[in-house]
Amino acid sequence: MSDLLKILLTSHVLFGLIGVSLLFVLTTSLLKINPPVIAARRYALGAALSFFASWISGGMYYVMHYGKSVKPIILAGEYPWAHFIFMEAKEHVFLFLPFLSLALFIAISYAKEVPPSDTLRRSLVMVSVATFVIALIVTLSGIVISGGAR
Amino acid sequence: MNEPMNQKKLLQAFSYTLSATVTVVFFTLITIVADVFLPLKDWLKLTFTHHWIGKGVLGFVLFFVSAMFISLLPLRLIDQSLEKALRILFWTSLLGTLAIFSFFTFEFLSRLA
Repeated sequence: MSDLLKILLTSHVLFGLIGVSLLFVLTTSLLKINPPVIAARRYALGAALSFFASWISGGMYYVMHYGKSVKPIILAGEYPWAHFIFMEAKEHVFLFLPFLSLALFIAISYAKEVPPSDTLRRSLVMVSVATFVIALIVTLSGIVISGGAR
Repeated sequence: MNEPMNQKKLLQAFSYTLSATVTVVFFTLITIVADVFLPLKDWLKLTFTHHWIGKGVLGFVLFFVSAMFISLLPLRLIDQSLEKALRILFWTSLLGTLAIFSFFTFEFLSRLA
């Protein structure tokens, strides 16, 4: 694997993990009765930017290398389902994450203007939890795919 | 019902929340349909060099265009409108994830059969 591909793969993983971590912090901060709305807004924006960066770096790695070199190894190995189920699903479900995070950022920006009601805060928590859970599933799928290629 | 203090900001939040829902539904449908109806996958490959790039580009454009379109509608919104839109986004994103994972699991099991 070339240095460029190593950098792309590492960036994809790192930005993805930063995004997941920020979603966790965002969710816990929104769970507070008086949530720190300005900080929450920053966490959501940070998560969205991280997922966009992870999308670009991971996408380049996927298009340039995965299909030609990694996929055949997984399919020839003992765990072809790692590609057929987890990679296929992960590469598509991942696409939700930047847009969910961006929508959260914009919705929290409104909540910054008005003191968020308890029901609005709960709705924000629901979307934040869903985004975090999806990001976690995507991360775990990445681990399964890496295992399938060994 | 609460009167919104900032109608413009509320309309923006509502538009982007709803457009995120539209985008999630789009990604879910195009993922499943392109795998079942291969001419669509071929068109994506031909137009965008890779089907996955095509889905991403179209979803990206759809997100911003649909948000712009919704924000131009003459809507009278209240706080509850945003809450409802967020709840719809919550369910759509979870069901979309479940649909995609179930689809590829079913497809893999069909290969074995």
